[in-house]
Amino acid sequence: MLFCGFQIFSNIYLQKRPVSAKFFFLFFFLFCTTIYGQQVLDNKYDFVVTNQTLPDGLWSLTETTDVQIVFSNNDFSEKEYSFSFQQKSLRFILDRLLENEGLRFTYEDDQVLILKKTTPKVTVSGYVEDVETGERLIGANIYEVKSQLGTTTNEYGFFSLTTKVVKPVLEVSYLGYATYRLPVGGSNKEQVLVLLKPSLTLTEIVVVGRDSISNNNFTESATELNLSEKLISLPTLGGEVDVLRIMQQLPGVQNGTDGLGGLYVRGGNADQNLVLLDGVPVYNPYHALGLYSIFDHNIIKKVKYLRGEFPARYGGRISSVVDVRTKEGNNKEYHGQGTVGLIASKLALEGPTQKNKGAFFISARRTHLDPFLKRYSEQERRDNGDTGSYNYYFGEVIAKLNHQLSAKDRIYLSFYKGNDTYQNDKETDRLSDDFRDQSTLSQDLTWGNTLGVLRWNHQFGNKLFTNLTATYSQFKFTSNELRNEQYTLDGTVLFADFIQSIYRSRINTFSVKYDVEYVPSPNHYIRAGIVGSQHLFSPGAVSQRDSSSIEEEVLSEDVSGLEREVLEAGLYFEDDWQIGKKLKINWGAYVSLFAVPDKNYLLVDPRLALQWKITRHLQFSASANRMTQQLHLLTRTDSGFPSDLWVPSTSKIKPQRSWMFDAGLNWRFKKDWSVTTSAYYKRMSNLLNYTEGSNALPNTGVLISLDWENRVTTGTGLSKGIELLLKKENAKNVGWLSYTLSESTRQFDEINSGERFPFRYDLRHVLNLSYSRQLTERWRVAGSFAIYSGSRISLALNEWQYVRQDGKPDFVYQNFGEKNSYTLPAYHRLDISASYKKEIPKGYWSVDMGIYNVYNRRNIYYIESDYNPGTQTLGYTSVSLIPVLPYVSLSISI
Amino acid sequence: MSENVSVLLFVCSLVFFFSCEEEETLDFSEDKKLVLLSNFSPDSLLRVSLSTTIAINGAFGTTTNYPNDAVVEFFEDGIFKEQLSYHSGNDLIAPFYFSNFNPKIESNYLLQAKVNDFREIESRGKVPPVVNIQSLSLTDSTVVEDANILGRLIYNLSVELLLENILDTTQYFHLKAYRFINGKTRACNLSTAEGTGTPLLHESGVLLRSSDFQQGELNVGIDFIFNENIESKSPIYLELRHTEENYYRFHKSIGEQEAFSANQSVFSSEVFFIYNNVENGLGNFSGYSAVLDSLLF
Repeated sequence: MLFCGFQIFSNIYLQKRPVSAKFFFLFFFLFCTTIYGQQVLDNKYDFVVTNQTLPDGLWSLTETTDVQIVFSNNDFSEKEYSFSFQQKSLRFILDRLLENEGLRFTYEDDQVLILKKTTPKVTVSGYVEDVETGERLIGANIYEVKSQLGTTTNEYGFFSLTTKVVKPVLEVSYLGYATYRLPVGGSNKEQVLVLLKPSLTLTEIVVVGRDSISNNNFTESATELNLSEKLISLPTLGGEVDVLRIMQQLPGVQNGTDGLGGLYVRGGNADQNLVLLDGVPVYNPYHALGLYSIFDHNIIKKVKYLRGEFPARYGGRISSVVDVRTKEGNNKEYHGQGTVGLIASKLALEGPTQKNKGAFFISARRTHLDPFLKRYSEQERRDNGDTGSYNYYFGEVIAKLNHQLSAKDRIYLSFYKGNDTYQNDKETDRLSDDFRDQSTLSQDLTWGNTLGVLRWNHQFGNKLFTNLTATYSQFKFTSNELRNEQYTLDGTVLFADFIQSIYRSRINTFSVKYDVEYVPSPNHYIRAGIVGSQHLFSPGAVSQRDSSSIEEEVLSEDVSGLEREVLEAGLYFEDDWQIGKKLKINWGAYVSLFAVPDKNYLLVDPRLALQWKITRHLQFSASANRMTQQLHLLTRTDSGFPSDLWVPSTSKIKPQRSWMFDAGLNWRFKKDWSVTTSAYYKRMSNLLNYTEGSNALPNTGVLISLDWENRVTTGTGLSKGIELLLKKENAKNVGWLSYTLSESTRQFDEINSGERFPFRYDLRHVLNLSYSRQLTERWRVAGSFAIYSGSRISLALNEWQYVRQDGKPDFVYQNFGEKNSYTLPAYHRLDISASYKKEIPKGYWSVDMGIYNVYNRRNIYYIESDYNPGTQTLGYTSVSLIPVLPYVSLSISI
Repeated sequence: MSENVSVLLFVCSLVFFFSCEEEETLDFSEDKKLVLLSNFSPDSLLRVSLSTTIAINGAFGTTTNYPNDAVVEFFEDGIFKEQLSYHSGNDLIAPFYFSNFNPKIESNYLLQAKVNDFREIESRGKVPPVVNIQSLSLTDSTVVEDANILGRLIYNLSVELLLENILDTTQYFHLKAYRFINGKTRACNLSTAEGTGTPLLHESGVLLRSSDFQQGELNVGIDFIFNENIESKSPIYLELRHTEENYYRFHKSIGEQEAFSANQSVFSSEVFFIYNNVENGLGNFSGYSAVLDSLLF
């Protein structure tokens, strides 16, 4: 060996290379010590260890061999070993001693160093799919058995898990599917496709919230709705299963009578909910003023509902997130489903465009009450001595395509269009002595959403998933109204009036978004993204003409030039960071830039949420969130009318913002019970409202839209509350009781004399009880009961006479007191339902039946003023909407 | 199976329990209040109208009650000044309480009123300093003859009004125009540019804020009918009242409720509120100072 060293030295020297002497001596020293070390390790010894921990054993070995062994006690377990070696090399003895402790050794500087073994990391990534349909599964749990590390699939079924286990074994589970174990082989980068088989016998968790355990035993803060049979079987309104109506039964959600007016989450306004359909914001997610949502349950794959913790990837609204993901279609075989219900009929078709590679999904729904409604209204008008009818219907279609370009690339294309239509035609001709009153009214109102998405998923390596999306979202409201009125006396025209108004309001948003998900280790899940949006607002009347017997006056004409374009950009970063086994933090920020003429708003929304696992069954969660909303919904009635106007922030009107603080406990007890409590505090600023008196202007709703900026006022909102969710769930039953105690107020300088007043939907107590039970293999029964405090309105309970400055008595004015100071009676309702399902070859058929509002509670929708011309006094009558309403619907799926 | 039966029994019992459901009876009982109305200035004796509210859903035919036994007391800068006397009014004038005292500019006034069965009310007011008219000039004039009535002329004047001491802080004004015809006061219609001022229906004139003026200047339209058969030409008087904010807000809201009533929606959430600065009651107690200028046409 020395010769070899000398040989190298000679070669270097002889070639006269400019090698420094230092390099040579260092090299020589290392070489020699290595050679010497090899000799020491090969020396043979007799060595015996009996019931000793490894550190003690190594001390004994030092004494036996006279070789210094350096180690740290912290690297060893307290396990005791017994060994007996006879004439074995030191290398052999050390190998045996250390092999079960995950340690290795090296010889340096005349001593043996004991070190931790460095195991190469293995990253397994891939997708989880339904084996029968090829649908990718959102939120499936992936759990590595040996390391006990886990993760979940994202919205596109992708997951990435890095572990130090050489040959990891994945356990993949998903609600309603058989758990699957998958050993993954050798290489450090594995791409897998996990196919799960549906299992009807498994326990399905229906409402997953803080009451469910996800990977790593942390309870999710989001509430997920998995539309399993247990949930679908809950009573519905007219047989239409509606995800937003189900959401109304959860804590923290307030709503108007019978669900009208939309969702009001934790004291927020209806426009403050970020409702996403496959990632596209929907401006009006309702049909029939909020009685139904645009989400037919047959198209839904998964719904995520966030009301407390808002990860940074969600921006643009300040109160809640409802993230609805729809089915992509079956890429194995063709299927169809048809439903005929009391209110609507539906048809859905799906199948492969290329087997295992691509699929299409198309679904359509339309109400079919219009022929009956038309006939009924014609009769009603005839009974009143008039002619004409009124009618209402809605319909929608969703069409989707997806195709897998490669194992790591997939494109999606989807389109949604929904429309509501209301028509009202009335002709009146009344003759009294010689006086004749003739009038015609023709109203045609249509409104709806149009959405489009083009998306490209791409996976870089095993840890990086990206998503490039182009989206389009439009909400349009159009009203055509014609009024003609004429009074004649003895054939002479006393008064003639003709008003025609065409009103169009539209908001278009086109966005391009790039999202990145990076999973560097099991302890971090990083998401980042950038989005750019163009909003186009077209509020206003196209034309309005008033032609009376005196003169014709054009009130407003062609205001198409009032379209307003604004640009919005967003940037976010968030990290789901697990610190040890008991603490998880989600931190991040959403930065938004909103560019309007004369002003740019650059705002940063920090987000922080933590989950602390106190014991195995008890978890504490808390979050603090700053939210920004650049768009505002101007509403005149708080009743979810489609004529409500979407407007942007401007140089005068600042973006809405909120601070939300939330803390809660989740406790699982017994086998299938859980209780979740939360307390929240929310402060909102720059809320927008019409000033008092805006509605007093003539042509309400038309001209107001044109100069809305001069007719609004901004204010603040404050909301606080305590929520409770008690739930029991097992294979046959699911039931929950939710209760919310809350207070929500508003303050605007120019409303209610600047005094703080209760929010219209400040429902102090809200209690919901829902229960669904599988009676037999085919029969399921369910019931739900809701009771909550009445909503707040402003009602004049007295009036007073004005005395002019010259002392003369004048008009009488109503005293409404404080705004929203009158509380309507409590709302309560009981619904029951039963469903029967029978399997048939390649599918099933089912019948759902039930009774909505079983005991015919006349819950008040609004109070109508009732003027008595005889006494010139005003009274009130209450108006209720939905009486007891039985329903039945039939579905066939093949 | 027994568990199934118990579930069904539970549901049935809920149904039976609520089957006796009746229509909800709404509570429309009112909280009766005193209504105080007084706009005072140094140019006249303090006069207060005191009445009670009328139940909106109560017995039909109820009319306004003007209590005659109220104790109405008046304080100036925290010092008791006098108790107001009652006047029963007449066929045209509603009953009122009056003092023999002219309020002063910049003094703080407190009015308290006590009536049996009502909560004691009180309100505070102040007379703001005078804002003078620097100039008033006629800029345009059109006259249209009424085709139906000979000698009846419809005048439309445009005037330019320039104020003297407009401040940086918001000031509130009530501008009125009137003529004297055969010893009686006749109000003229005033109009201002769109988005400027609030025309009043219950009182004549227009309410303004200092922001409605451009460097103290404002263009005002004056409309009136001149009937040369029964009157001779006389000046048009412009009265500029510099008012308290309470005055402005009250009259603006009352005018707007008038217009609102004509367009009332069936949705009870859509209502309009009248501004109120009377504690435990309703109405308005606020001061103003006025200057007068005239214009010939």
